[in-house]
Amino acid sequence: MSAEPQVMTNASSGDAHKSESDEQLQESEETVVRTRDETPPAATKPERLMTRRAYLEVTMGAFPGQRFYLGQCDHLIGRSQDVDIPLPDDSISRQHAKLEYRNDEFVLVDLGSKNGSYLNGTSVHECPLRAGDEIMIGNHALQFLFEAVLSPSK
Amino acid sequence: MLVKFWGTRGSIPTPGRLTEKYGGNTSCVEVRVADKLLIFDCGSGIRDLGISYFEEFGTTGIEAHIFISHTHWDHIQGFPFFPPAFVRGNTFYVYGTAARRESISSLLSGQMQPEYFPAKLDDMAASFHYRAFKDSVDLGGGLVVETAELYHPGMSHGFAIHWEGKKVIYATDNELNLGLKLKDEAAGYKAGYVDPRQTLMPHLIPFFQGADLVIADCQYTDEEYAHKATWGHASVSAVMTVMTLAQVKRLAIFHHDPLHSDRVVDEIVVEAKNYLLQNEIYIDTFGAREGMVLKI
Repeated sequence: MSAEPQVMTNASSGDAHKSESDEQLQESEETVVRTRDETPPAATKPERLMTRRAYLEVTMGAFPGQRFYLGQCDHLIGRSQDVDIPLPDDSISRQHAKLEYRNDEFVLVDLGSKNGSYLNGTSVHECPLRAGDEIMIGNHALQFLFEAVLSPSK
Repeated sequence: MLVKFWGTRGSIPTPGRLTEKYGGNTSCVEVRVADKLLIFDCGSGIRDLGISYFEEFGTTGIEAHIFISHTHWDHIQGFPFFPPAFVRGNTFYVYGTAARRESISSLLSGQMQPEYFPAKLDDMAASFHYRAFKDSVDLGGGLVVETAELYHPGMSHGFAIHWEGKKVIYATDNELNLGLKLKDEAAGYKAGYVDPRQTLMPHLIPFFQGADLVIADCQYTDEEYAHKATWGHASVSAVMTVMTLAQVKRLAIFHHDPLHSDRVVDEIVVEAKNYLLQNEIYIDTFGAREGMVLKI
C-alpha cells in the first residue's frame, strides 16, 4: 500500500453566502490524513499531559473553603493533629475515617468512629468516592472533587 | 452485620462512564454475619466478589451460602465466572425455591451447557450443596433467613436475614405496584392507593415490617412505570408506600435500570425523598452503589 499521504482541503465552492474572508480561511485550513505506516512529524515542543487531581474541600466546618489535596496514597481523617486531614471538632474521633487509595480510586472507610461517617447523608462503613460526593463527619462536611492539571513542560 | 453491594444493576451489565457512580454489574449482594458469608444472587457482580475472596482468604477453604431470588439472567449470569467455584476445597450451599418444578442445580446447569459456556456445572471443583427452600432457612446459631414470594413474572423471592434482633431484607424484582389497589385503574398505575394492607399479598407487610435495611427493587420513576407495568419491577411511589407502611428504617434503592445513567438514578432517589418529605416521614433512603458497604 502506498504511503503517499492524502491531502484534503475543506474549501468549498458554490456557497453564495460565504464571505471572501471565510473562503480564504477555509482554503488555508488543510487537513492531512496520514496513512497508518507513516511516522508522524516530531513534536516541536514536549507534550504536556492533562491529568486530574483529587481534593476534599471543606463546605461546612471550621475552615470553609479549605482544600486538602489527595496524593495517590491513603489519608487519615480525624480530630488528632497527627492525621493527614485534621479537623478540630469534638464530635469527630481522633482517627475517624480513612480515604483508601485502591485500584486507582479513593474509598471512604469509617474506622469504627463513635459518630459514624456519612456519604451524601447516609451512614456508610465503606464506599468508593465519585466527584461531587459529600462526606459528613461530625459537624464537618467535605466535598470530594477533582481539578484538571497540566503536567509541567520538560 | 456487614452488607456489601457487588452488583446493583438490573437486566444487563452496563459498564461505562455514565454508570460509574452506582455501578454497572448486575445483582449481587454479600452479607457477612455471624462469621458466615452469605451471597444474594449471582449477577455479574459475583465475579469481583470471588476475586476478593481469593485476595482475602486465599484460594481454598472458602465456605459461603448463596441464595438465588430467581433464575432470570441478571441474577445468575455471573455464576459461571465465580472463580472460587472452580477450586477444590471450597464449599458452597446454594438455595433456590422449592416452588419450581426444576431444581436450582438443574436451572444453573442450563446456562452452562456447551452451547452457551465451555465449562459445565460438574466441572466446578468446589463442593456444592443444593438446597430447596420453602419458608425459611435456619443457618444455625440463631441466624435465620426468612423467604417471601414477590411480584414478578415467573416468580422471584425475597430474603430477610434475622440476626440478634436485626433484620436486613434483600427483595428485588418485585413489582409492588401490582399488589396495590389503584384509585384509578383506567388511568394506569399511578400513586394514590387505597389501604395497601387490604391488597398486598398478606405476608408482605409483616415481611418488611420494621426492617433495619431493605434492599428494594425501585427501577422506575412513576412516569416510566406507566409504560412498563407488568414488567416485574416497581415504581418509586409504590415502593415508598409499602416501606412507609412497614416502617422500615433504611432503604437502598436497587436494581437500577440499564437505561438509567447515574443522573437518572440520582433523580429517582430525589423522587423517593420528596415522597417522604411530602408525607412527613423519615426513612434513610439512598441509591445502592457498587462497592458500598453498610454496617447494620
